[in-house]
Amino acid sequence: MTILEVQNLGKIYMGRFGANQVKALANVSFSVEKGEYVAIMGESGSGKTTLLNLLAAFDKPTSGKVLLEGRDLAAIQEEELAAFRRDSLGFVFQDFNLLDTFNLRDNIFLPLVLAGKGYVEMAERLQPIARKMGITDILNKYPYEVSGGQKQRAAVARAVITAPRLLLADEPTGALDSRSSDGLMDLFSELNREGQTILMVTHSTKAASHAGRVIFIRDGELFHQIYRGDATNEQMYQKIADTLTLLATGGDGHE
Amino acid sequence: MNKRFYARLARRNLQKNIRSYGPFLLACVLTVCMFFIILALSVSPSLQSMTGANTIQVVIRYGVIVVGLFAVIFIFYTNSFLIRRRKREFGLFNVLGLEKKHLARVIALETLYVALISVGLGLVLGVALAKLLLLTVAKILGIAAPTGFFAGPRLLAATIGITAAFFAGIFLLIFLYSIRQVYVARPVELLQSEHAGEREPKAKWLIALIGLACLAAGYYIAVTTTDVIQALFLFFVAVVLVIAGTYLLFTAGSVALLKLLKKNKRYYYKTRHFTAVSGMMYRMKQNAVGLANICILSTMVLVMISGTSCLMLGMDAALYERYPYDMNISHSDEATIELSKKAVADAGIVPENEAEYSYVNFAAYSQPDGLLVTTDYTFNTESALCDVLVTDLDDYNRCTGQEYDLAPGEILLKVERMKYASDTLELLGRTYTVKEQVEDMVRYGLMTANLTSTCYIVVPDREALTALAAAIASEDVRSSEQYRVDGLYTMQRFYGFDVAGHDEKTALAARLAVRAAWNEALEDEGSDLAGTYECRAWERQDFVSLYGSLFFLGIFLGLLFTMAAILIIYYKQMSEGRDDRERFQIMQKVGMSRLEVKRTIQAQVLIVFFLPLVTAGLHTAFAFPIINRVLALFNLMSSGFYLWCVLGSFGAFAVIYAVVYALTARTYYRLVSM
Repeated sequence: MTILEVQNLGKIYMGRFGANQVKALANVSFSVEKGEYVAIMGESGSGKTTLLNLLAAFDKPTSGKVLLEGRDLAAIQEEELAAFRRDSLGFVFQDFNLLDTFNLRDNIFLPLVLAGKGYVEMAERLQPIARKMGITDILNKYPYEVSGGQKQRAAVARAVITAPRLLLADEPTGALDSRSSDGLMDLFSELNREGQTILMVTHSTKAASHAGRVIFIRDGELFHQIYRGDATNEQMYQKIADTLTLLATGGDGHE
Repeated sequence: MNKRFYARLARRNLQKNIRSYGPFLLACVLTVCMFFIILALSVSPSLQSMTGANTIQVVIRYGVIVVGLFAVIFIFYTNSFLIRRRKREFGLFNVLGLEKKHLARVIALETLYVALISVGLGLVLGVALAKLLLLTVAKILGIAAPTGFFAGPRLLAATIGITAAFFAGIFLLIFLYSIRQVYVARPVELLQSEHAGEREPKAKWLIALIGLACLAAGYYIAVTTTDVIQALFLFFVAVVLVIAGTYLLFTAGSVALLKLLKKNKRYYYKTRHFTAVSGMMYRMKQNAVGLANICILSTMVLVMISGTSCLMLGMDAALYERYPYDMNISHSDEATIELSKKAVADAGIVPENEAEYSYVNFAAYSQPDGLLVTTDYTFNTESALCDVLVTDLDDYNRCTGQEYDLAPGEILLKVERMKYASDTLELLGRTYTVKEQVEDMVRYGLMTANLTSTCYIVVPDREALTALAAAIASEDVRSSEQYRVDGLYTMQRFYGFDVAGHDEKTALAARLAVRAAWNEALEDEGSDLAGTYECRAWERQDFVSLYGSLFFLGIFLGLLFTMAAILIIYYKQMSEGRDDRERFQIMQKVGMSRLEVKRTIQAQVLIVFFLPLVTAGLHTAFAFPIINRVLALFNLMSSGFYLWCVLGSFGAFAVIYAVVYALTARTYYRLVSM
């Protein structure tokens, strides 16, 4: 079953008074099946973040469509959008985006509180997730009291506690050291094995090598994509590295 | 480096920070302007030439001190806020290679620009407005508009010089403070300083409780103090307690309360409370002192304006209490009264509403069953002191239009500001029977306008009155140092009358006629004239100069404090807007809609904004009883009237406050949603 369908997506940023048009994305199409783990790779400025913003409905496309479970994001009313985002999507950010005024537990509860859930239900939902993330002992701590890896795991807990249909991650390992990165990627793999659909934007080859499929974009266009198949993480890593070399040397991709 | 470079950098810094420096500049300009004006008023020769000038000048000089103190504190406080905000900017300059001494130079230039603009514009505005203000004062005081504000250019120059020097001093002080801020900090600290102090505040229960106790004690004193003399002293105790309580409660109490709310999971984990409670906790940590400042300033504005406007507006009522007739003449010799009557008639003035009675006036200690006349002051309990006036039945019936009868040994009684329950009254060794406690009484200004208890006694006839006067005169009382004056305890004759339509000119003419007659009698007989003549219209000028200048000062300082409160509010909103921006962005990403964000912001801003106003209202309400009693010192007895003044002041202040809220809330929302 297709969860996410991206059709001919394009985004042009306008300078002031219509001058300096910048083409951030052009004619990007792909789809994500339920239970897939997809990584999107590309260099800085390739349009990764623009793509993610469009998928999350933070921004509107200039052309094309994003369908989430067959529903056109552009057709969702502004008032409904926040609730939709809250219920259907989970976000993990590079800089964690945890609120300093809340301890980790309250940070994780935030989307549920916004959805109007009761405390008992929230606590029940939190327990298994916290255990899985290994943060049960530090739930009462504040973001500034814990390490980057712990922060990011709390952020993942916050993203998945609403049981979203799609987990969107924007450079989740970007601010982490290599050990924390590995831990986080293992966590993503585990979540994926349990059926969580994940779409991750990254420029870390290591991180992308955990994914089931890697989509490469360059200059706002879909350049290439590779599937894991039966390959191990190491083999996948090699495949990605080769593609990146091709990308950097300016070869012509398209499978 | 190029000298121009620093100047340009300093200019650009100010321009770039115009949103925070603009209001600061405006406030400085207005402070300079107001200081100049009040200073000019205090030395203005045209005010000196007015009647009651002494009172006015004393009050206004007091105002100069208050405004000066205020200017120092206020400019210093606001500047420290601005510098704190800019530490990051300084750190960046430092990292980019600007040495600290270069930074000091830039700051020096910036301060110089701010000082020049403030003092320059402030003085221009001050000179332009001073004349207007003087006319306003004259109008308030009800005197003819004075011509010419300054005696000459020299006085003007001196006033300008003092103002400029004073503010130059303040700006030098804040320059030194800013420099110190930059010098003690390392660049990394400067860069990070804005992010310091994000730890969740701890609930300090003990301090919160102390604050609560202070506030409760202050309120208790304000509500329960019934004695007027005590009220005046205790008022300041209550003020200090309430100020301390406000600071402690705003800082510790608020956090403690929010912690309590947070512990209640049912309450805390609700969409509306969740972000608000935690957000407020941080807000209170950073802004409690600022909010307490706003609250105290607002309370001062309210108390000052309501109190002084009450005095001003209630002045005539107070005058009528103190001087029941247009002319009030009192003398031990009946012939002098007749003389006065004749003089008034000769002046072509027709007295109306005449009242004439004989009386004896003395002080005594009230006892459960009588009055004790003594000079033994070790007999303390000041509140039992009682002012006594005795008159006889004929005069009483004539003056009040009553038709009472009294048997020998019987009296009529009227007490004020005390209770008298006994049926008999013992006075100077005689026991009288109280026939009735009556409502109507002869009118005697010193009695009605008295702060202590008063007691009127009506004896059956003139003989009884004379006997009483003789009894008092024979007491040891008379021989004591204080009462060496003859005739004080002897029988006096009061004569009061109004002139047609209470016309001031006629009343003053009557006063002159009486004065001339008395002087003449004094020369002719060389007798020891013991008596007074008081003209309400004449005394009114004294009342006007005292109350009017207090009123003017109240409004003047009220405006100044309001301006300060507004500026503090504005800066609070701005700094909070910056802090909150990040938080609200995150919340939007996690699934809060713009509308919800806006609503949350509004709720928080509303609480933070109106908490000081509501608290100020509460303080004013609790201050009401004690201020009411202090006002009694100024002959102002009607509490209903004061109530209206308080309500009016609060209403006006709330409107101004709400307008400022609307304006700053917009700035805040723009900052947050940027």
